[in-house]
Amino acid sequence: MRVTDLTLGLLTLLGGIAIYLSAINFHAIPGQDYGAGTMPRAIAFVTGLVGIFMITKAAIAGERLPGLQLAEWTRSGGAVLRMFAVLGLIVTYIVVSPLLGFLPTAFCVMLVAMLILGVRIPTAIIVSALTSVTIQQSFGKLLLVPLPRSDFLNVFW
Amino acid sequence: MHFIKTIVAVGGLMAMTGAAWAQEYPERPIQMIVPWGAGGGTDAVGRLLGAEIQKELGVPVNVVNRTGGSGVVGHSAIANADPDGYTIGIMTIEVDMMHWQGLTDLTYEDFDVLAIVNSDPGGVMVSADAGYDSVEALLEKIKSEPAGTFKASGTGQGGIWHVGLAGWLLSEGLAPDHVTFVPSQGAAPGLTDMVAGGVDIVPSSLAEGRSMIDAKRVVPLATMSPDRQDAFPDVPTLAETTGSDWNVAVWRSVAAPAGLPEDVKVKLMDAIETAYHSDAYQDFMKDRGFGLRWAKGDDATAIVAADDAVFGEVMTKAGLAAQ
Amino acid sequence: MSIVIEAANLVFQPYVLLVIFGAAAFGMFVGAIPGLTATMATALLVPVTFFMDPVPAIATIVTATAMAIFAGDIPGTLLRMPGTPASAAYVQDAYAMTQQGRPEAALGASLVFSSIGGIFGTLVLITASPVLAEIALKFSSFEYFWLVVLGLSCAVFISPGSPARGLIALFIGLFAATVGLDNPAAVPRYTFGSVEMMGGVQFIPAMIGLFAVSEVIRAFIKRASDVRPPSTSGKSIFRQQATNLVTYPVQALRGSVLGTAIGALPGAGADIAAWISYAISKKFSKTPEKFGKGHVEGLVEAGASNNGAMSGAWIPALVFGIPGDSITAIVIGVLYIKGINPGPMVFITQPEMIYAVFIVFLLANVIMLPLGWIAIKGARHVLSIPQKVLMPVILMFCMVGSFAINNSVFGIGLMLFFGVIGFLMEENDIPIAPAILGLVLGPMLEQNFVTSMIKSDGSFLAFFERPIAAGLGLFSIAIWTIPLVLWLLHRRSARQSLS
Repeated sequence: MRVTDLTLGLLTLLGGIAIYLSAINFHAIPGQDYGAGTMPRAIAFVTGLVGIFMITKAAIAGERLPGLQLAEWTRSGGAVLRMFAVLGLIVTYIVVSPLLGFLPTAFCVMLVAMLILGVRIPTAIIVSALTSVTIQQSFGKLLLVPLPRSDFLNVFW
Repeated sequence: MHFIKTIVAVGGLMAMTGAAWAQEYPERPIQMIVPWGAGGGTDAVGRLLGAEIQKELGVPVNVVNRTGGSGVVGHSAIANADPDGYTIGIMTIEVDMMHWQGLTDLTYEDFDVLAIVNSDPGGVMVSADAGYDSVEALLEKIKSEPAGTFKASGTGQGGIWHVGLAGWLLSEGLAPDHVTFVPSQGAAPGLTDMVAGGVDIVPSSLAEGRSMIDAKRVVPLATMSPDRQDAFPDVPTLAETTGSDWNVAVWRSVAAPAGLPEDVKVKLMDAIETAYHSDAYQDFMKDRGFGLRWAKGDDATAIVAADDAVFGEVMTKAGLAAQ
Repeated sequence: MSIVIEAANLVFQPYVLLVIFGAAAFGMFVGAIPGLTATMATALLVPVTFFMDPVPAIATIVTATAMAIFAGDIPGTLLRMPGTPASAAYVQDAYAMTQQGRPEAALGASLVFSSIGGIFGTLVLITASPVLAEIALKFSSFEYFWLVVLGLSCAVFISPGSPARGLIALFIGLFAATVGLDNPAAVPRYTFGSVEMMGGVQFIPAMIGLFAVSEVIRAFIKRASDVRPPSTSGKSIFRQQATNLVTYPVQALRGSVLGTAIGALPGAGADIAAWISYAISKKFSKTPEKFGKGHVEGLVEAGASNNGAMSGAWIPALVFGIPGDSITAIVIGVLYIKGINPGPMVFITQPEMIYAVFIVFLLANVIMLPLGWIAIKGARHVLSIPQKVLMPVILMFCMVGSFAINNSVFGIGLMLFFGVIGFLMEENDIPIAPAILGLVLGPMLEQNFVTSMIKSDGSFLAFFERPIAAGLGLFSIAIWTIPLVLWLLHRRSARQSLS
């Protein structure tokens, strides 16, 4: 998904205005002129300037709206599906791992990811299993990272 | 068939060990949440106590840093955990301040305070180049100059030393913002800035300024405690010098989410008490120049509650509390 | 001389050497995994050092951190996922070299010039520590403000593509840095009532998202299998570095000097040093157009710089007990436990201890060469694994690394968010590096600006009243105005020649 310079400039300008509006209610440090709002306002100001600059430049170059160019890959349905699949896998891990524990969730997430990419099933199972156990042992045991644990399957802890 | 047998056997074994574990606390690793970053003073206290408690209880105590939001993130994580004794944490004085600032609804009442394990009184420190030899001379000068001439730093906006400074100024009959407070990321950046000539006073604990005091770049003028500190016997108290009755001290405590079962609570408190009296802990605290203080259970809760009330009053007067 | 021998006796013990070796391997491991930083390696080592004598305890930390900073280059070079923030400055070049089939050349340069920078920094540490720390101690928020401005300007100028896109990236990073409670006014911003958001946008998950997850998303879209691992040249890792040293002696020296100096400033560490050095390298290069496309010059300078900074950070730490970065802050804590109070007195009362630290430093930077060689040889095999198998594994490491930084799934959420942002940025040719620097330096910029304004009672002139601040300020302004003036002059002359 690629936008043209004119659109990018417009988005930047809108972003600047949005940041400025959002910062109106940030009050200053009591008794001072500066505080929580200073930085967002400065960011909003310069962002707006950059946006105006880009719009001007694109307009001089004779660009017109609308300006959205779809990249080659978006025409392949499989590619779009795979993109959403990987995002979905991350969300799945976030939601499921605290419930099921690290080992089963990590194994499943990796297995599905590999199958999507077309790894052969035996290879996918072996690599997923080895990786989850290795991560669990090295991070969980050696580095004491409190990976989510489950009440079953906790033989390794 | 053999495969299935193995699974059944393993399953049975797990169930049995599970049943055996369920009999007595603790049966699995305990997580200790530290609301401040790795490498800081609170982190060191947590890690050392954790190691000693681990010896006592016989299960691993894993120290977990949950930082950010001036301590709100970590304290919330402790309070929101299950009160089963498997999540404890280091609770710091910020818990008595952040709810006054309106940052969170969390107060000390959301915790079971197990023990207070450390306390460091605030101080008055100036740069060696500034040429003050006593806190009276400094106070004289502060009073004679218009408000805002003097600047102090050493913690974030509304942080403990900000409140400590405001409380001291109030006790001397001055406006709480007579000395402008410049927020900093902690005592060390504040001290560095003072030595570089950026601010005039750092009202943090003397322990935090120790290496700078030893390097003769910072002069400690007073301690905000009822008695002189063992580590700094030459530094007078405020009461001895200006006659102010203002006292402030940070403390660190071990706390659990409110609603701990009584037997778990007793077991934890005993383990912490042994850890506190261990040579490793006592030596560590003395070496770092941290003040030792012990109170457990209801005594500790009373200290936390008393500070909560005092801070609420000072912060409201100083305009630091949320309206 | 007897002190040096005494110090050597403290270091050259079988136990100490074993500890150094173990710490080196540990540092390599931690640094090579994206998401685990050198600071984290140190923090994890602290409980272990409780049970050691002072010299092995310091040796552990020094070796592990020096190694972690180098090892951060390995995933950066091979997979475009910098292992530590200090490697992010030149990851573009290093990865481009891998794509051209020269990963050894990139890693070899990182390794050798890391070692050179580290050794140079140590020599400075030994000879000039008191003098340098004295200068650094004069820095107040005014000087730091300009230093940050300088660093951010560098980020925009080193980014490939148009400065406008570089600025957009920078402001994405700066805006992300405003989220949360950790600002001078302690007001929660853009938290939407969430406690986790009060902690702000953590750097590590954001970095993993922008650099690594965006790459994983791309691999899924292309279905990965059509990305062939580049073939590797058979040349030795070290031989090419002799050529590099002959070609870029000035760059290596400049990187070492600047890195050490920046490291010695309290609060400024290896990451800022790498960025500034990379920018300077590009500015003064004869071939700036090659930067970002697999050119080794920036790698030489910034690689030397970040390890120089590692050593430099110890100067204020040892001389005044003031930490130069988060790692030395931890080390000062460890020293106190060991009954050594860092400060001028140690030089008089326990000089053998100071010399032992110096020897450990030299040793760590020398041992880095053979150990690094092994690590590179091992890591090279990462590339022979098919991407379709590797990418899911990397995704898992990304998630665990994002989780580990604050032990919360919130980190994984952040990682996902920034993964999508990074993907969209790349699709639109917006460089990622300035966004990272904006995120890192945003809080420092705000803190130093707001506190300076409070100190000066709102007068902006105060930023030029102190001599060092004035110098840094004028320099920063010159960086922005001179190219602009040159550009205007150029345009005018072009127009005149047209008419």
